[in-house]
Amino acid sequence: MHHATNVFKNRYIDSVSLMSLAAKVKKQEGVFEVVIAMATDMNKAIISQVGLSNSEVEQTSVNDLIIAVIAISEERVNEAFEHIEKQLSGGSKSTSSSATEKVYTSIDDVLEDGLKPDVAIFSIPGQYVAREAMQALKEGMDVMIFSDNMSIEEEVKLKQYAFEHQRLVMGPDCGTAVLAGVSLCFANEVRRGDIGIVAASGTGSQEVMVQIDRLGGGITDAIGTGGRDLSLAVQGLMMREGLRRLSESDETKVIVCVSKPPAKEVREMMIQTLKGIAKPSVICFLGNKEITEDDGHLHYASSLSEAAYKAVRLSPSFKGTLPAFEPLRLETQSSGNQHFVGLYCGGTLCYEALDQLSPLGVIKSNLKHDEQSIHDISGQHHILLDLGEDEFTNGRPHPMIEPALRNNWIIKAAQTPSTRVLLLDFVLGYGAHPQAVEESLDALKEAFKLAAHRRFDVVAYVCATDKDKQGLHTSVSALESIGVHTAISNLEACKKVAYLMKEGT
Amino acid sequence: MSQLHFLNIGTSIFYEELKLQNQKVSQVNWAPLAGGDQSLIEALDFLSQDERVKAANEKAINIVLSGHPYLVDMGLAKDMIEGFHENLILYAGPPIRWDQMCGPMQGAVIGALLYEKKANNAEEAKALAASGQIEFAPAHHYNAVGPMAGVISASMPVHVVLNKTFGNKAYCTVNEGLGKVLRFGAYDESVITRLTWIEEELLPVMKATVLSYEEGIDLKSLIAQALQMGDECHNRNKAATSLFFREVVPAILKTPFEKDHLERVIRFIQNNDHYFLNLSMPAAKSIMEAAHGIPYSTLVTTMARNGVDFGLRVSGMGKQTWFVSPANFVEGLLFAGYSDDDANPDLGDSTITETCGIGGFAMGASPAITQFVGGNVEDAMAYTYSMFKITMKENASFALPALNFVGTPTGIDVIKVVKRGILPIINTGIAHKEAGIGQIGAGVVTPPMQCFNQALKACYKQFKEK
Repeated sequence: MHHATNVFKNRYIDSVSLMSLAAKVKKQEGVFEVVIAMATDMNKAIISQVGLSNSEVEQTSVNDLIIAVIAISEERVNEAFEHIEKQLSGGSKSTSSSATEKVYTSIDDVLEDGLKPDVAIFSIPGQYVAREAMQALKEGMDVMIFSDNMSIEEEVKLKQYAFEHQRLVMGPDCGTAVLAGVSLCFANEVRRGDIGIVAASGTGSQEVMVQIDRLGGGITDAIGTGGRDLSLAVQGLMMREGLRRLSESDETKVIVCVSKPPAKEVREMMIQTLKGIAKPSVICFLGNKEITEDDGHLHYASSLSEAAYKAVRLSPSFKGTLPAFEPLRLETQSSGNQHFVGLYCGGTLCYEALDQLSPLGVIKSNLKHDEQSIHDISGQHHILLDLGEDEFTNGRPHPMIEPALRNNWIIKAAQTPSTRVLLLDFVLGYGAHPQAVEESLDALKEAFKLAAHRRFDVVAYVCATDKDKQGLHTSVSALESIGVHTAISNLEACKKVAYLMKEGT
Repeated sequence: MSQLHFLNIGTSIFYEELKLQNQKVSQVNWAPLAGGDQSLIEALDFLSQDERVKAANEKAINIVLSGHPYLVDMGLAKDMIEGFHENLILYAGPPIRWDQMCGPMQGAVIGALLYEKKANNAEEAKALAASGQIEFAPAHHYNAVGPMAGVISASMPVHVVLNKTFGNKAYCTVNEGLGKVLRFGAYDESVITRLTWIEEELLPVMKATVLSYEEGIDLKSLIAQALQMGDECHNRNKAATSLFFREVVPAILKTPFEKDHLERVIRFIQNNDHYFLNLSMPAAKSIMEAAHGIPYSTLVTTMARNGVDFGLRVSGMGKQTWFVSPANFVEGLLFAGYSDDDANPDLGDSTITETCGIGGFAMGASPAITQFVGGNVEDAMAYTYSMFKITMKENASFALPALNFVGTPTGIDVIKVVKRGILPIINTGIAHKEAGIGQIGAGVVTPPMQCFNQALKACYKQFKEK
């Protein structure tokens, strides 16, 4: 085995690009480990863990780029380096040489050029975002923060300023928004209509918009707030600003509010706010077990599908007919020695599955915060994993960007004899991998082969519309052609899992 | 609804997705401000918003833009420069001790002591230099500047340049030409003979010539014209020397010296493409010195190198306060037969030209120089444009035709350099690290960022307290 580590001083490149490149290079034959990372303390620790650190690495600072490779031969190491160099220089050249597209290095740079952008999207390391986002706010921009790792104090400060000035701070850790029909970061191409969404969860928002589209409705905006917005500390500042905007928007006739369960006090505040808005609204606080009856103005949904369904039913522009909505009704049952394993890219989709499938017995999930981290599939319980959480990505891109991350888990699940059903989501659309489904087909074929001697089913939900660039139809066909059961919603996927589990062996 | 304009700060994936939707989107290839150093960010935030700093910089840059240097006199350093004495030797760059000096600078000191007849040979000169009897000081402390080693001793002839707008003076020696010359550390007999000739033959003629101009010779005007003729007035001075030559030859002929004597002086100027460098430098120095000492100003008034360290001075800080960090090596082209191992780190006071907005900052004016320093014409234009990001104003007096008559980017602001992470571009010669071999190439170099970081922190500390 051969390895090499090189340091490039003062060469800052954003981490998402670097992680994607590292993932690609790692797929090359004979290459075992690739780290391409800025010299942050965390990255240096990772490099040290894989035994690739040296004295030069120890002396680096955050603007330095470190490339480390382990491969089967020196030749392969050199090839990997050449490939990386080519990709890195090629990338920067293509952006800077185009005469019409000026690339800037700071917000100041943009402002000095006389530009006045309306919306700033940040995907830079979390510890730097607050200062930059405040500058954008003060320059009159709405802000979307994809980055995570921002302190709660910074979030509150930004959002208070934004709230007072009627500006949006979507995030931190906000992955999905649609503004005036434009999709930001991760979102689907959906029909324009009269339903406005405010969501504290990314894939929750995506599922609602996709289901609205499927049922024949359409949306105006989907405003994201970031997952902590409805906490006691943040007091739903941006949920309230989002609701203010939707209440004042002429196009919006129906409002949908999506979140995991908020702090009780904040929940009351949201309900009061919605009561004060003249438009009907649908509230979907996932996992909320208190049953509240619809009152003609406020409507409650216990799943993302139901939220979409009720919103479309309320939509004045919707002229079609809706089939009756069927919730998933499960009798509590013991799991026996057969289990399902859900491997999710979408955090809220995973959360919804956890909520819907809990009557099937004990489910181990990294979304249950009181549980130890899960490193393996034990075969003792049902499992639902959100693979987009930090503990699984660990320096690699989110599985929606780089779905190959999940393939090892698919194999592990199939190898575990007690796995009866494998449940997967594929979130397509803007921001997602251009061939999200295709990336996993080989692993799935391998899984079927490994479990050929027993009853083993795979259920997949493709969260997409027929307008998304990856193509809903081709993705679904590709899955079905190798024997995967597909579902039209995450809820339906859960229903299929429940059915197959009941069917047993 | 009008179309939204998006600004994507970070990964280009999101930029590409907005493009796919035919949206108006601008990309910021973001990097952590000031390398993510929190103390620098704090200083930047404070200084960028301080009204006193804004006002002081406005005042300082206007002093720079209105400076008007004239060559008004010549004479020996000890007679012209205030405070000069027999045992004083000035050198380029920030303060440095004799034993720490680089090869070319030590060579030049030896040469100066031989020239002053304080030593009979190199060994005696070294002993004297180390004895403590000689006082060494940065030329900048005496309002003087010198190319490369920049050594000035008592009996060396200097140009006297007057900034007429503000009445301050700056000084610089006479350029000796290329090859074995004192400024690259050579001190053999040919070097001393040439220096003596400059003192005995050139000085009387040129002093009489300069004094024959009632107003002096307008250097700002010569520089402005030369910039329109392909010079950047640091590494290329062909046009400026020619203009100067055209200006002074008729006046030289009117001085009361023998024809042969005059011809030797005229030939000396004619044969030295860099003759004007020793005029553009004091011209720039007189302009920048006038802007030094404005409280709260973050204008860089000096950039200079001694071949070991790079040093900065800032208007709002003390006159002898230098921000110093190890000098970089010049990147560029080496003459045949030399390798990177032969090169001395960046050396000389000639960066006063860049400090004043010409030299590397005016590269776009000088397509001819670009190959010499390694690059193409587009690079040269890009250099000039990028310097606008770290400077305060455009100098309308120095308009560049190739850049559609944009003025040179002038007045380096410490705040902008640190905030932008863009360093000043310097066009410069490369000296051999051993004394006396001379110039071995030319190229482009930047100051170390550390100098600017130090300067920024010091400004913050001082201005915050007041």
